[in-house]
Amino acid sequence: MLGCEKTRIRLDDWLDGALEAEALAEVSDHLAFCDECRDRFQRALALQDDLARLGSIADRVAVEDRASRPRTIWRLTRFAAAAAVVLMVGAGYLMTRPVRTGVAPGGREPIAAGDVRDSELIPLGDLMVRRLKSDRVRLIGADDCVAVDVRSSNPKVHIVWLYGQCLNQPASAPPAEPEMPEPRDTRRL
Amino acid sequence: MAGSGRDGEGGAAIEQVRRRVVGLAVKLVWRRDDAEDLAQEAFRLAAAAGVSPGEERFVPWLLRTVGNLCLNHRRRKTRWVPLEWHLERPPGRAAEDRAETAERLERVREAVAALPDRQRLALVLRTMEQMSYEAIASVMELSVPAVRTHVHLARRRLIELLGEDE
Ligand SMILES: [Zn+2]
Repeated sequence: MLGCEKTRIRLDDWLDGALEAEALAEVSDHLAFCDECRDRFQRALALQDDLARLGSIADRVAVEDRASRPRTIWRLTRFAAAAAVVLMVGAGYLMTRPVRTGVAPGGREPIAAGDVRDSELIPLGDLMVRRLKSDRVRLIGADDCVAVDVRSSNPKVHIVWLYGQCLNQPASAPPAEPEMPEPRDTRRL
Repeated sequence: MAGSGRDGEGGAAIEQVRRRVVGLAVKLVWRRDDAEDLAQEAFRLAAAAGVSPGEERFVPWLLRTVGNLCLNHRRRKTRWVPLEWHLERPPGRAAEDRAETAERLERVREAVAALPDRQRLALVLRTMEQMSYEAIASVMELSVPAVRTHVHLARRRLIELLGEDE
Protein backbone atom coordinates (compact mmCIF):
# COMPACT_ATOMS: atom_id res chain seq x y z
CA MET A 1 0.00 0.00 0.00
CA LEU A 2 1.22 3.45 -0.93
CA GLY A 3 2.06 5.90 1.86
CA CYS A 4 0.86 9.49 2.12
CA GLU A 5 4.11 10.92 0.81
CA LYS A 6 4.19 8.75 -2.29
CA THR A 7 0.51 9.34 -2.93
CA ARG A 8 0.88 13.10 -2.82
CA ILE A 9 3.78 13.06 -5.21
CA ARG A 10 1.27 11.78 -7.74
CA LEU A 11 -1.22 14.55 -7.18
CA ASP A 12 -0.15 16.57 -10.22
CA ASP A 13 -0.25 13.60 -12.56
CA TRP A 14 -3.57 12.60 -11.07
CA LEU A 15 -4.97 16.07 -11.78
CA ASP A 16 -3.48 16.05 -15.25
CA GLY A 17 -5.01 12.66 -15.95
CA ALA A 18 -1.53 11.36 -16.64
CA LEU A 19 -1.43 8.38 -14.26
CA GLU A 20 -1.15 4.89 -15.67
CA ALA A 21 -3.89 2.47 -14.67
CA GLU A 22 -1.78 0.77 -12.03
CA ALA A 23 -0.60 3.99 -10.41
CA LEU A 24 -4.14 5.32 -10.51
CA ALA A 25 -5.41 2.23 -8.72
CA GLU A 26 -2.75 2.62 -6.04
CA VAL A 27 -3.70 6.23 -5.47
CA SER A 28 -7.39 5.35 -5.34
CA ASP A 29 -6.70 2.65 -2.77
CA HIS A 30 -4.86 5.08 -0.58
CA LEU A 31 -7.54 7.75 -0.89
CA ALA A 32 -10.18 5.22 0.10
CA PHE A 33 -8.83 4.97 3.60
CA CYS A 34 -6.76 8.13 4.18
CA ASP A 35 -9.00 11.07 5.04
CA GLU A 36 -6.20 13.60 4.95
CA CYS A 37 -5.04 12.73 1.48
CA ARG A 38 -8.58 12.40 0.22
CA ASP A 39 -9.36 15.85 1.51
CA ARG A 40 -6.27 17.27 -0.12
CA PHE A 41 -6.98 15.61 -3.45
CA GLN A 42 -10.57 16.79 -3.37
CA ARG A 43 -9.50 20.34 -2.68
CA ALA A 44 -6.97 20.14 -5.49
CA LEU A 45 -9.64 18.89 -7.86
CA ALA A 46 -12.05 21.63 -6.83
CA LEU A 47 -9.29 24.16 -7.38
CA GLN A 48 -8.62 22.69 -10.80
CA ASP A 49 -12.30 23.13 -11.69
CA ASP A 50 -12.31 26.68 -10.44
CA LEU A 51 -9.21 27.56 -12.43
CA ALA A 52 -10.75 26.08 -15.56
CA ARG A 53 -13.88 28.10 -14.95
CA LEU A 54 -11.86 31.27 -14.51
CA GLY A 55 -10.16 30.44 -17.78
CA SER A 56 -13.40 30.07 -19.66
CA ILE A 57 -14.77 33.27 -18.16
CA ALA A 58 -11.64 35.08 -19.36
CA ASP A 59 -12.00 33.54 -22.82
CA ARG A 60 -15.58 34.70 -23.06
CA VAL A 61 -14.60 38.18 -21.92
CA ALA A 62 -11.82 38.28 -24.52
CA VAL A 63 -14.13 37.52 -27.44
CA GLU A 64 -17.31 39.06 -26.29
CA ASP A 65 -18.75 41.83 -28.35
CA ARG A 66 -20.43 44.32 -26.25
CA ALA A 67 -23.65 43.55 -28.07
CA SER A 68 -23.54 39.86 -27.22
CA ARG A 69 -23.17 40.24 -23.49
CA PRO A 70 -25.80 38.55 -21.46
CA ARG A 71 -28.75 40.82 -21.35
CA THR A 72 -28.99 42.54 -18.09
CA ILE A 73 -32.25 43.82 -16.87
CA TRP A 74 -31.79 46.73 -14.62
CA ARG A 75 -34.61 47.81 -12.57
CA LEU A 76 -33.90 51.38 -11.76
CA THR A 77 -35.39 53.34 -9.04
CA ARG A 78 -34.52 56.79 -7.99
CA PHE A 79 -34.23 56.81 -4.28
CA ALA A 80 -37.56 57.62 -2.74
CA ALA A 81 -39.13 57.90 -6.14
CA ALA A 82 -42.36 56.11 -6.54
CA ALA A 83 -41.55 54.33 -9.74
CA ALA A 84 -38.89 52.17 -11.23
CA VAL A 85 -38.37 51.20 -14.83
CA VAL A 86 -36.94 48.05 -16.26
CA LEU A 87 -34.03 48.72 -18.54
CA MET A 88 -32.09 46.55 -20.85
CA VAL A 89 -28.45 47.02 -21.49
CA GLY A 90 -26.80 46.38 -24.76
CA ALA A 91 -23.97 47.59 -26.93
CA GLY A 92 -22.43 49.49 -24.08
CA TYR A 93 -25.20 51.99 -23.72
CA LEU A 94 -28.57 51.90 -22.16
CA MET A 95 -31.46 51.05 -24.35
CA THR A 96 -34.43 51.79 -22.29
CA ARG A 97 -37.49 49.71 -22.62
CA PRO A 98 -40.04 50.48 -20.02
CA VAL A 99 -41.34 46.99 -19.62
CA ARG A 100 -43.08 47.64 -16.39
CA THR A 101 -42.94 49.91 -13.47
CA GLY A 102 -42.64 49.07 -9.85
CA VAL A 103 -40.88 49.94 -6.68
CA ALA A 104 -37.57 48.38 -5.75
CA PRO A 105 -37.85 46.28 -2.63
CA GLY A 106 -36.90 47.99 0.55
CA GLY A 107 -36.05 51.21 -1.17
CA ARG A 108 -37.20 53.42 1.61
CA GLU A 109 -35.38 52.02 4.55
CA PRO A 110 -31.85 52.68 5.78
CA ILE A 111 -28.88 50.67 4.77
CA ALA A 112 -26.11 50.25 7.26
CA ALA A 113 -23.42 52.68 6.19
CA GLY A 114 -20.78 50.02 6.67
CA ASP A 115 -22.40 47.76 4.14
CA VAL A 116 -21.98 50.33 1.43
CA ARG A 117 -18.44 51.37 2.27
CA ASP A 118 -17.23 47.82 2.51
CA SER A 119 -18.47 46.98 -0.93
CA GLU A 120 -16.23 47.38 -3.91
CA LEU A 121 -16.85 50.01 -6.54
CA ILE A 122 -17.23 48.22 -9.84
CA PRO A 123 -18.34 49.04 -13.37
CA LEU A 124 -21.83 48.16 -14.49
CA GLY A 125 -22.27 49.25 -18.07
CA ASP A 126 -21.34 52.90 -17.95
CA LEU A 127 -21.96 53.26 -14.26
CA MET A 128 -19.67 52.85 -11.34
CA VAL A 129 -21.72 51.14 -8.71
CA ARG A 130 -21.34 49.60 -5.33
CA ARG A 131 -22.60 46.11 -5.45
CA LEU A 132 -24.20 44.42 -2.50
CA LYS A 133 -24.88 40.75 -2.15
CA SER A 134 -27.93 40.87 -0.03
CA ASP A 135 -31.24 41.37 -1.69
CA ARG A 136 -32.56 42.59 1.60
CA VAL A 137 -30.93 45.94 1.12
CA ARG A 138 -32.34 48.76 3.11
CA LEU A 139 -31.32 52.14 2.01
CA ILE A 140 -31.74 55.73 2.95
CA GLY A 141 -29.67 58.57 1.63
CA ALA A 142 -26.83 56.54 0.16
CA ASP A 143 -24.45 58.81 -1.70
CA ASP A 144 -23.40 56.15 -4.14
CA CYS A 145 -25.08 54.18 -6.79
CA VAL A 146 -25.82 50.85 -5.18
CA ALA A 147 -26.61 47.72 -7.15
CA VAL A 148 -28.20 44.67 -5.64
CA ASP A 149 -28.42 41.34 -7.36
CA VAL A 150 -31.74 39.62 -7.38
CA ARG A 151 -31.86 35.95 -8.28
CA SER A 152 -33.46 35.13 -11.54
CA SER A 153 -34.66 31.74 -12.63
CA ASN A 154 -33.28 32.40 -16.10
CA PRO A 155 -29.47 32.14 -16.05
CA LYS A 156 -29.20 34.44 -19.05
CA VAL A 157 -30.94 37.24 -17.29
CA HIS A 158 -29.53 39.24 -14.46
CA ILE A 159 -31.84 41.39 -12.51
CA VAL A 160 -30.12 44.18 -10.73
CA TRP A 161 -31.84 46.70 -8.59
CA LEU A 162 -30.17 50.06 -8.60
CA TYR A 163 -30.59 52.44 -5.76
CA GLY A 164 -29.29 55.80 -4.74
CA GLN A 165 -27.58 58.16 -7.14
CA CYS A 166 -27.52 55.89 -10.17
CA LEU A 167 -29.95 57.95 -12.13
CA ASN A 168 -28.08 61.15 -11.46
CA GLN A 169 -24.95 60.06 -13.25
CA PRO A 170 -24.82 61.53 -16.72
CA ALA A 171 -24.01 58.29 -18.50
CA SER A 172 -26.97 56.57 -17.00
CA ALA A 173 -29.58 59.26 -17.19
CA PRO A 174 -32.52 57.51 -18.77
CA PRO A 175 -33.82 59.05 -21.96
CA ALA A 176 -37.27 60.48 -21.98
CA GLU A 177 -39.73 57.74 -21.32
CA PRO A 178 -43.15 57.98 -22.81
CA GLU A 179 -44.38 55.43 -20.34
CA MET A 180 -42.88 56.99 -17.26
CA PRO A 181 -45.63 57.49 -14.78
CA GLU A 182 -44.54 60.99 -13.96
CA PRO A 183 -43.62 62.98 -17.05
CA ARG A 184 -40.18 64.42 -16.52
CA ASP A 185 -38.72 64.95 -19.92
CA THR A 186 -35.37 66.48 -19.24
CA ARG A 187 -34.06 66.14 -22.76
CA ARG A 188 -35.27 69.49 -23.91
CA LEU A 189 -32.56 71.63 -22.38
CA MET B 1 2.52 25.14 -40.11
CA ALA B 2 0.87 25.63 -43.46
CA GLY B 3 2.08 29.17 -43.99
CA SER B 4 -0.08 32.24 -44.11
CA GLY B 5 -2.35 30.85 -46.82
CA ARG B 6 -4.81 32.93 -48.73
CA ASP B 7 -5.76 36.31 -47.40
CA GLY B 8 -9.09 35.30 -45.93
CA GLU B 9 -7.66 32.28 -44.17
CA GLY B 10 -4.73 34.30 -42.92
CA GLY B 11 -7.06 36.95 -41.56
CA ALA B 12 -9.19 34.42 -39.72
CA ALA B 13 -6.11 32.69 -38.36
CA ILE B 14 -4.70 35.99 -37.12
CA GLU B 15 -8.00 36.83 -35.49
CA GLN B 16 -7.87 33.51 -33.68
CA VAL B 17 -4.37 34.20 -32.46
CA ARG B 18 -5.40 37.67 -31.39
CA ARG B 19 -8.25 36.26 -29.32
CA ARG B 20 -5.93 33.82 -27.71
CA VAL B 21 -3.43 36.53 -26.86
CA VAL B 22 -6.14 38.79 -25.45
CA GLY B 23 -7.55 35.78 -23.59
CA LEU B 24 -4.23 35.10 -21.89
CA ALA B 25 -3.91 38.78 -21.02
CA VAL B 26 -7.39 38.78 -19.45
CA LYS B 27 -6.39 35.77 -17.35
CA LEU B 28 -3.44 37.70 -16.03
CA VAL B 29 -4.71 41.26 -15.62
CA TRP B 30 -8.49 40.71 -15.47
CA ARG B 31 -9.30 43.96 -17.16
CA ARG B 32 -10.54 43.82 -20.69
CA ASP B 33 -9.25 47.26 -21.68
CA ASP B 34 -5.76 46.63 -20.31
CA ALA B 35 -5.74 43.17 -21.85
CA GLU B 36 -6.53 44.59 -25.28
CA ASP B 37 -3.79 47.20 -24.94
CA LEU B 38 -1.21 44.65 -23.84
CA ALA B 39 -2.15 42.26 -26.63
CA GLN B 40 -1.85 45.10 -29.10
CA GLU B 41 1.59 45.90 -27.75
CA ALA B 42 2.67 42.27 -28.10
CA PHE B 43 1.62 42.28 -31.77
CA ARG B 44 3.47 45.56 -32.29
CA LEU B 45 6.61 44.09 -30.74
CA ALA B 46 6.27 40.98 -32.90
CA ALA B 47 6.12 43.11 -36.02
CA ALA B 48 9.08 45.18 -34.85
CA ALA B 49 11.08 42.02 -34.15
CA GLY B 50 10.22 40.56 -37.54
CA VAL B 51 8.33 37.65 -36.06
CA SER B 52 5.65 36.89 -38.60
CA PRO B 53 2.48 34.80 -38.71
CA GLY B 54 3.93 32.19 -41.05
CA GLU B 55 6.55 31.15 -38.52
CA GLU B 56 6.23 28.37 -36.01
CA ARG B 57 7.55 30.59 -33.24
CA PHE B 58 4.84 33.18 -33.87
CA VAL B 59 2.23 32.04 -31.33
CA PRO B 60 4.64 31.04 -28.54
CA TRP B 61 6.48 34.30 -29.10
CA LEU B 62 3.29 36.33 -28.73
CA LEU B 63 2.12 34.39 -25.68
CA ARG B 64 5.51 34.78 -24.03
CA THR B 65 5.60 38.49 -24.82
CA VAL B 66 2.07 39.25 -23.70
CA GLY B 67 2.68 37.10 -20.61
CA ASN B 68 5.73 39.13 -19.69
CA LEU B 69 3.97 42.41 -20.43
CA CYS B 70 1.12 41.35 -18.15
CA LEU B 71 3.43 40.26 -15.36
CA ASN B 72 5.20 43.61 -15.51
CA HIS B 73 1.98 45.51 -15.84
CA ARG B 74 1.15 47.71 -12.89
CA ARG B 75 -1.42 45.69 -11.05
CA ARG B 76 -4.73 47.41 -10.83
CA LYS B 77 -7.08 45.77 -8.47
CA THR B 78 -10.01 47.94 -9.25
CA ARG B 79 -12.56 47.19 -11.91
CA TRP B 80 -11.57 43.62 -12.53
CA VAL B 81 -13.95 41.72 -14.73
CA PRO B 82 -16.92 41.06 -12.45
CA LEU B 83 -17.07 37.28 -12.19
CA GLU B 84 -20.62 36.75 -11.14
CA TRP B 85 -21.96 38.41 -14.25
CA HIS B 86 -19.98 36.12 -16.48
CA LEU B 87 -20.75 32.89 -14.70
CA GLU B 88 -22.41 30.23 -16.73
CA ARG B 89 -24.01 27.25 -15.17
CA PRO B 90 -21.59 24.39 -15.65
CA PRO B 91 -23.12 21.76 -17.92
CA GLY B 92 -24.64 18.79 -16.16
CA ARG B 93 -24.60 20.44 -12.80
CA ALA B 94 -27.55 21.51 -10.79
CA ALA B 95 -28.25 25.12 -10.09
CA GLU B 96 -25.65 26.53 -7.79
CA ASP B 97 -25.51 29.55 -5.65
CA ARG B 98 -24.03 32.07 -8.06
CA ALA B 99 -23.01 34.53 -5.40
CA GLU B 100 -21.24 31.84 -3.45
CA THR B 101 -19.49 30.49 -6.54
CA ALA B 102 -18.42 33.95 -7.60
CA GLU B 103 -17.03 34.60 -4.15
CA ARG B 104 -15.05 31.38 -4.20
CA LEU B 105 -13.71 32.08 -7.70
CA GLU B 106 -12.79 35.56 -6.57
CA ARG B 107 -10.64 34.10 -3.78
CA VAL B 108 -8.97 31.80 -6.28
CA ARG B 109 -8.39 34.65 -8.70
CA GLU B 110 -6.77 36.77 -6.01
CA ALA B 111 -4.64 33.92 -4.74
CA VAL B 112 -3.39 33.27 -8.28
CA ALA B 113 -2.60 36.96 -8.72
CA ALA B 114 -0.45 36.81 -5.60
CA LEU B 115 1.72 33.92 -6.82
CA PRO B 116 5.33 34.49 -7.86
CA ASP B 117 5.48 35.45 -11.55
CA ARG B 118 6.82 32.22 -13.07
CA GLN B 119 4.50 30.04 -11.02
CA ARG B 120 1.57 32.21 -11.92
CA LEU B 121 2.24 32.19 -15.64
CA ALA B 122 2.92 28.44 -15.71
CA LEU B 123 -0.24 27.71 -13.75
CA VAL B 124 -2.41 29.97 -15.89
CA LEU B 125 -1.08 28.41 -19.09
CA ARG B 126 -1.64 24.91 -17.75
CA THR B 127 -4.97 25.18 -15.96
CA MET B 128 -6.77 28.11 -17.59
CA GLU B 129 -5.26 27.93 -21.04
CA GLN B 130 -5.15 24.09 -20.94
CA MET B 131 -1.77 23.89 -22.63
CA SER B 132 0.53 20.87 -22.50
CA TYR B 133 3.71 21.09 -20.44
CA GLU B 134 5.70 20.91 -23.66
CA ALA B 135 3.86 23.86 -25.19
CA ILE B 136 4.26 25.84 -21.98
CA ALA B 137 7.96 25.07 -21.96
CA SER B 138 8.29 26.56 -25.41
CA VAL B 139 6.31 29.66 -24.41
CA MET B 140 8.29 30.20 -21.23
CA GLU B 141 11.62 29.09 -22.67
CA LEU B 142 12.07 26.63 -19.82
CA SER B 143 12.59 22.89 -19.64
CA VAL B 144 9.53 20.67 -19.21
CA PRO B 145 10.62 19.61 -15.69
CA ALA B 146 11.03 23.27 -14.72
CA VAL B 147 7.50 24.01 -15.93
CA ARG B 148 6.17 21.01 -14.00
CA THR B 149 7.88 22.29 -10.88
CA HIS B 150 6.36 25.75 -11.26
CA VAL B 151 2.88 24.34 -11.77
CA HIS B 152 3.33 21.97 -8.85
CA LEU B 153 4.50 24.72 -6.49
CA ALA B 154 1.70 27.01 -7.61
CA ARG B 155 -0.93 24.36 -6.99
CA ARG B 156 0.50 23.46 -3.62
CA ARG B 157 0.55 27.07 -2.56
CA LEU B 158 -3.02 27.66 -3.68
CA ILE B 159 -4.33 24.53 -2.00
CA GLU B 160 -2.72 25.56 1.25
CA LEU B 161 -3.71 29.20 0.96
CA LEU B 162 -7.31 28.49 0.04
CA GLY B 163 -7.59 25.71 2.58
CA GLU B 164 -6.79 28.18 5.31
CA ASP B 165 -9.83 30.37 4.90
CA GLU B 166 -12.27 27.53 5.09
ZN1 LIG C 1 -2.56 9.74 3.05
